[in-house]
Amino acid sequence: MSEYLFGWVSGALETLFDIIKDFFVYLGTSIWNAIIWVVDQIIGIVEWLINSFRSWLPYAIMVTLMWFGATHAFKDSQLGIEQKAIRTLGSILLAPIVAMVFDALVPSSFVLPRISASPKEISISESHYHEQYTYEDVTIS
Amino acid sequence: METLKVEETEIRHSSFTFDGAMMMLDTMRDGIEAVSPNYELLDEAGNVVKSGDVTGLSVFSMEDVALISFIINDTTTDTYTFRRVRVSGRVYVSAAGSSFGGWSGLTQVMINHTFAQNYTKGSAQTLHAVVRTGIKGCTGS
Repeated sequence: MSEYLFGWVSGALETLFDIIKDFFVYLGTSIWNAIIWVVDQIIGIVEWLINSFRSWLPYAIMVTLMWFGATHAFKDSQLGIEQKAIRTLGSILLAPIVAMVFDALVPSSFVLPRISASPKEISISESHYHEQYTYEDVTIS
Repeated sequence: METLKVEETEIRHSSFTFDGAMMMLDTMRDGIEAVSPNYELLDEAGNVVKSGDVTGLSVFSMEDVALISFIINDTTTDTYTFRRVRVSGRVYVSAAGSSFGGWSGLTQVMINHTFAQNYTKGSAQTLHAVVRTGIKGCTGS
């Protein structure tokens, strides 16, 4: 009787410990996954910011060049009105071309790596191989 | 920072399909049929004790096995003891990447079968042996 009881109690305790262990494994995994999710979100925001900056950069280059060319031409007291007009028009024509060249040369967007998408460890659980098949039936009569 | 490693299950599987195995065995059968005599019975020491033509040469599948089957019939009054059979065939030659191919004049051993025991045929006895050799573990397409 005592052996039966002991067996029953130890089985129940084992199940209880398994439940407690599974709970903490689940809790730990959930917290860890949440941390990974937050870090991936931050990486995503940084990626979005850099890509946004990149997408506006050609316009920024264009406006800066135009502004630089026009203001320098007009501020220069040594230049005549024709030279000022030519340099201003030249900077207005040149700035979009430089912006287009930049746009064509630099990749339009890029993707930062995410922790959750890191390579997973792969375990091979089963393998199939060919086997030789032989059969013989010899009759000497 | 250590990331979570999720174990993924992958079943490694690389096998001949029935179609592929049957094609190989069909080519082998054609090569064996093109040679006469195409079998040699050998004793334990490797001496040829009998040669002739196999009969009932066929290729078929059975469950996951693609196999080639042949029969050795000897109704002569010869007396001998044999342990092995060696079946030869003509070699099919084709260049890699080419659709042209053909039977060469070269004859090679195609099947080597060692019997489970020594068999002795007396002068008043006939021999009838069915031998099958196959590839187990073939898969569908």
